[in-house]
Amino acid sequence: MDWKALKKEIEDIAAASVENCPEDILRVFEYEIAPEGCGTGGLMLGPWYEGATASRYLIPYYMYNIVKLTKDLNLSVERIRQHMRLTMTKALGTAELSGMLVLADLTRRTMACVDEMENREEVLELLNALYLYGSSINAWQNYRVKWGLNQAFVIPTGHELVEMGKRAEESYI
Amino acid sequence: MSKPAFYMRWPEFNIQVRCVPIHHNRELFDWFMRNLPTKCVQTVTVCAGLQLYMQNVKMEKVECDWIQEDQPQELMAEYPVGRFMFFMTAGHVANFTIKAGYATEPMPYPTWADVAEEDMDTFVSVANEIWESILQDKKTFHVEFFAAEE
Repeated sequence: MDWKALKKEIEDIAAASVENCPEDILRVFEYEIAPEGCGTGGLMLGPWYEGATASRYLIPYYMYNIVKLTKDLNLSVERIRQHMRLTMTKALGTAELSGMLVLADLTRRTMACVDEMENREEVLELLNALYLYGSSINAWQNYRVKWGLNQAFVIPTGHELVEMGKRAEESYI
Repeated sequence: MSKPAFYMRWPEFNIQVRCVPIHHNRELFDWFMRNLPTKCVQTVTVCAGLQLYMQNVKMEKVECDWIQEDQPQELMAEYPVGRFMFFMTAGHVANFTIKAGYATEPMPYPTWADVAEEDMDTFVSVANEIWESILQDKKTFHVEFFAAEE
């Protein structure tokens, strides 16, 4: 597998996602489209939670940890691979389960590519690209998640929340 | 020689504020400056209090050469409004927040810059507008960072 081509592909998608919402986030969070049967009780809440977890923490957070550990502990390529297998496998499953298909595809191909690579600096370049893309969908997920549960309820404004907070003790007897 | 500074600018508002180093972590400030200009999607924290959140900032020129846990840190709940902290930053990717109001998370982070005092009201006003938008009408905002001319 050509790691440079994969890195460029990920970087191009990451660069585009500075301006435009990534396809995964539009599909799962905005348009509420997910593979059949992936949500608990057929509801979208499952994919949203799973997708939010995959995009918000699992994949970029594991990438961050591996890149940081490599700086801190001077990890070898074999140790990087070991960390990837231990952490990313579950993250990848979560991304796929929730319909985060582009994120899952790029992650799967990155893991396969790293399995064949021996140059540590090249491995880190590829992981940095996936880390940036994961961070981008993390940012957009923050926008598109239904913070108010599908806008079913009126969401208090910041001012209202502060006023509610001041009167919180009235809730208790 | 004047103090180094950078601007953060929200193109959707056509507003910018000046940002300056603080009493510690000057090397983090300098590392950020060496990677300018850069830009990202502008989001907010939701659970940790009122903060602007920069989650996908490309640090293209110079790789991160510091470790969060090794740096001087301050408690988010205690440091002042307008202060920057780094979080989940490594390699060529930066994540950071700027406190814009109350923050309750009793966690320490490496703080490294402040919004300049003369721009603080503007900053808080913009932060409030973005925070409301993310929960209500979900407009998209971006933020650009570029070095101030000396």
